[in-house]
Amino acid sequence: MDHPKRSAAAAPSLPDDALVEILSRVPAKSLCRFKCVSRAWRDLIADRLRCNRLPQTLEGFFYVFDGDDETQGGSSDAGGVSPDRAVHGRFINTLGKPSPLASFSFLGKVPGIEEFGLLRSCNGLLLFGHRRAGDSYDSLGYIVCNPATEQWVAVPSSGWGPDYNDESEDSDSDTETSCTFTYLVFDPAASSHFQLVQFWVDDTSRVEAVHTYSSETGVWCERLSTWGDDFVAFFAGSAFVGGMLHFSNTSYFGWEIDQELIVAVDGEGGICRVISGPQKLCDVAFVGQSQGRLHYMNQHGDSTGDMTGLSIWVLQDYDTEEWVLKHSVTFMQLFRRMSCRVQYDYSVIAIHPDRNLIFFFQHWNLELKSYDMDSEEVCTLHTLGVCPHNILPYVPYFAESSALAGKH
Amino acid sequence: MAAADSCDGISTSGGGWEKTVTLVSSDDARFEVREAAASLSQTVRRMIRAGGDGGIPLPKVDARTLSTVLEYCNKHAAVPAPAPESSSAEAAAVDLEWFDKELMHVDLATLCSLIRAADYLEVAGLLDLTCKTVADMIKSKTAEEIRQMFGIQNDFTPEEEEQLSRENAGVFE
Repeated sequence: MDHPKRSAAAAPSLPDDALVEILSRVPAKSLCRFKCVSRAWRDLIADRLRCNRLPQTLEGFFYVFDGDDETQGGSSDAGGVSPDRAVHGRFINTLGKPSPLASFSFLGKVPGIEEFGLLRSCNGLLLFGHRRAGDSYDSLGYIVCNPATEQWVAVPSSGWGPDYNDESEDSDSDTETSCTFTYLVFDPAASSHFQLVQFWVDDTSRVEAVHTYSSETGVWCERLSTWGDDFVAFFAGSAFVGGMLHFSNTSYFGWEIDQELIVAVDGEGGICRVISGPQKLCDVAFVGQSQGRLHYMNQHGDSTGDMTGLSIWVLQDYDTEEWVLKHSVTFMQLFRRMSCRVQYDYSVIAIHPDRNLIFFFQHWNLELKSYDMDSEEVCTLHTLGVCPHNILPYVPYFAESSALAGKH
Repeated sequence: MAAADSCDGISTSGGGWEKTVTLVSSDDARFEVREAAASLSQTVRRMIRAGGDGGIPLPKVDARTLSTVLEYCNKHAAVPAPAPESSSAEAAAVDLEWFDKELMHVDLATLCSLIRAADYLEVAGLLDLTCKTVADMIKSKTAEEIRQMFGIQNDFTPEEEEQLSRENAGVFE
C-alpha cells in the first residue's frame, strides 16, 4: 500500500456505517475524545452529533413498575432505580433483551430526589414526575434527563395540585380540573432547549387550561385555552412531527360527535393546526410518527359493534390532509382473539420511527409484542412479569446539552 | 398461522424432521444448516423465499467467519419460547448470555469480520452484540490507542490538533 487509506485502514477495517453502529454505543465523553483520532473519525462523529444522516433509531423501551418485582434475586443491573424507592425501572431493547446500556439508575443516587415516575420520552430525553413520598401528584415538579449523557435538570411544579380548585373558588372559573397531562417537547435539530406542555383537564377529559414551561426562561406560563368542548384522547398518545405535538381529538356538535380530528400543538401550547382524521367517525387507538409522517390507528368492528381489527393510516401529505390506508390487520392475527379493546386488552406502545413495525402491550399476559406490517409477522419480544405504569419508546441522543445543566 | 410463531426462533416442524439449507461461503465451503437457524439472517431468509437450488452463495463471508455466525444462529434459534414464570426459561436466558460472552472472546480483527458479516447477513442480534463488544473495548481508550488498534494514521496538522484539544478542554478529566 502506497499511502494510508481514508478511515480505518490496516488490520481490522470497518466500513463507515459499521463504525457508526459502534460509535452509537459509546458514551458522549468518549466520542469527544475520539474526534482527535483522525479527520475521518472527526467528520463521522461531527455528523452524528448533529443528529443528521446517522442512524439514531429506536433503541428500546423504558418502563417502570411498583413494588416487589421480577428483578428480585435476578439481574439487578437491568437499569433500575435503587431498590429502596417504590418505583422500579427497566430498559429492554427492541430485540426483547433487558439491557443496562441506557439507564436512569444514576437519578436514584441524586440527593434530594424523592419519589419519581416516568411520564414521557421525546428525542432522547425522559420526563419524570417528582413527588414527595406519599403524595398523589407531582408535588415537587419534574425532572428531565438524558440517560445517554446522564445529564439532568429539575423543573419546578406548575402550581397544580388537588387543592387547586378550592383555592381558586373566588376566581370566575366555574370549572374544576381533576388532573393534568404533561408532555415533553425536544427537537435537537431546532434547539438545545426543551419545553413542557401541561394540559389541565376536567373529569370528562376536556382541556380547561394549558400551562407551558421552557428550559430557556425557566418559568411556567399560563396560555389562553382555545380548546372548547372537544374531548382529547390522551390515552392514544401523541405524535411529534415537524416540531409539534399531535393529539387525537373528538369534536362535538352539541351532544353529538361531530368529527375525529388531529390537533397540532407547539411548545408554546398554542393550537397551530387542526387536521381532519382519516375517517369522520372512528375509534382511535393511537397516533404516532414514523418515517417523518403522522400515523393514525383506529379500531374497526363487525356488525355487532365488537372491535375486530386495526386500521393503520398515514398522512401522506400534511398540507392537503391526504390520508392513505397503509395497512389493516385483525386482532385474531395480532392477539389470537376475535375481539379486543384498546386500553383494556391491549395498548399500542409505539410505531418504529424508521420501519413499518408496531409495538403492542398485551394486557392479559403482560407481553410486549411487535408486528411487522411488511411481513405480517407477530413476534413476542418479552414477557414483562409485572404490570408497568408506562412503557416508553427510547431513541438515544448523545450530545450534551446546556439545557440540562445538572450532572451526576 | 405459522408466521405468528416463527420469529420466536422456534422450529415449527413437530415430526422430528427439520428442513435444512446449504450456505456457501466466499471460499466455497458448504454449510448445512437448519432453516430456522439460517433464517435469523434476513438476507438468507429472503434468498430462501426467492427459491433456487444448489446452495445459497454468500460471496462476502469467508468460511471462518460464517462458521462463527452459524454457531450464533444455531444457539439462538434453539431457544424455547419464553415461559415467564418457569425457572427453565430463566436458566436458558442465563445460558444464552454466557454463550454470547464466550463467543465474543476473540480479537478485534475477528470482531470486525463478524460485524461486517452480521451487517451483510442482517443478523440483528449478532450485529448488536458485536458492536456493543467493540464499543465496550474502545470507550475508555485514548485517541492514540484507537489509532493503534485500528491502524489509523493521524492526519491532523499540529495546528488542527492544538485546536481540537482546546475545544475539548474540560471534556478530559
